[in-house]
Amino acid sequence: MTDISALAARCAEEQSRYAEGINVHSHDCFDLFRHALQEQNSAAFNAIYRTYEPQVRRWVYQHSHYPAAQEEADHFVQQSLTKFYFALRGRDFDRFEHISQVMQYLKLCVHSAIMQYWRKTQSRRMHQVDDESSLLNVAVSPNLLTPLAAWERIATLLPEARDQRLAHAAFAQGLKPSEIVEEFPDDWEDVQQIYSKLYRIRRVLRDDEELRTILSVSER
Amino acid sequence: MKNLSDQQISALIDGTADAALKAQVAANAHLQAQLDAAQRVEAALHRLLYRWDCPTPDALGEYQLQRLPAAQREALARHLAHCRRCRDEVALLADFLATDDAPPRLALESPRGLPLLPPRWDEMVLRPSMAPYDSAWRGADDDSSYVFEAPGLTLFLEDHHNEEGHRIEGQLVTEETSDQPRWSGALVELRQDESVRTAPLDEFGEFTFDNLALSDSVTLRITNRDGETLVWSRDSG
Repeated sequence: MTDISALAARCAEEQSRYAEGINVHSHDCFDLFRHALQEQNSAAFNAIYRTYEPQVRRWVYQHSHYPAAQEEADHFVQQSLTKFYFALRGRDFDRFEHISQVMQYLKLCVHSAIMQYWRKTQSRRMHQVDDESSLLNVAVSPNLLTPLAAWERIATLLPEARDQRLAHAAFAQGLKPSEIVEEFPDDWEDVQQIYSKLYRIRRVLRDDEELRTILSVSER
Repeated sequence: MKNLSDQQISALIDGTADAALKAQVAANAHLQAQLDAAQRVEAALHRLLYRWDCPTPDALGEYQLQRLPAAQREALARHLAHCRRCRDEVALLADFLATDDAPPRLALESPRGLPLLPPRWDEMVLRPSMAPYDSAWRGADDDSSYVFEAPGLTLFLEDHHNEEGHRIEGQLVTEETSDQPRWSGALVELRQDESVRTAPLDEFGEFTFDNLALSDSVTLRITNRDGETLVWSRDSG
């Protein structure tokens, strides 16, 4: 039977040497990850959490979107390690053969945690909701049926493919007119064309009672 | 001016309207109401549709690492062809993965002291429900029970104290039975001072931490696979 404490101690030593820039090629850390995730050994995962938290924190600080996210590093560290745990526990760990792949995946989880938060922040800034409860509904209980219903209604109201692409670029991607011109040069020559088309599209969408009902906007 | 034209409304929404028009609207309640109504629709469209059909950041990451099955990979590639935001995220991830790890001493502090956004909206704060939660975290001889609540969720905690330290037993119960699978297997993180412990929620929503030396600064987080987090800290009241 593996002594998890001893394995954890060897991995911690290996990781501290790695953090000093010394590459170590033992299997101890990979074994510890395997016990923690594949065999779901709680003591091993505790050791992983303790050993790799500083590295995860460094990655959070390194990420280009971290400063603008305006959130504590602790939050992203915890979200990253939780994502990692859910993604790789059980048989999913079979996909990995070397510690470098595991570390790359852990780094990916840091990116995902920050970008997930970033998307919510962007959405929040774009529509400038001042009602915290409606924001909570969007963030915590996403229901894809409603966006799908809204988009299907928009597609009905805007039968031309070019108009649908513009509506998607403006509302689903949040692109500025200048970005839309760059993105769809075959559709649009300049931003003035886009402004001109957008105000017509907005009128069509505003005037549709069914869409307003889906959007829960009852009054004009 | 009796009413705003569609063009003027659009310019006001886009922020390209001139100062004179903005002043006119600000001084006229009817025009302001017309603009407000249009802005409500605009806000609702953004709120509902922003990135609604985009793959999650996790899926984009799996794509970048070439770990997606072929069918999913093809579907994601089709999305990337028309979604600039997702292409930007994939490029950002590629850069991030290629970045060398910084020496640790450069990163012990947050690089910028930016203000935080209060309150965080993707965490649900657990509040004490019925027990005197403040009385016995440290040094108590007797066992203590605590009950905390968040919308639709109740957390029961028991603190057993003996000469080896504290043993915390917890159970998370959902109000709706249908919510239970969402929290089954969630990861519990107990953080105090410089130390951190973790445990998974079992099929009954239960978890245990043994041999703890509880301090004044304790934060408990329970995060499910959807990233929803319940949080309680001694300071949260």
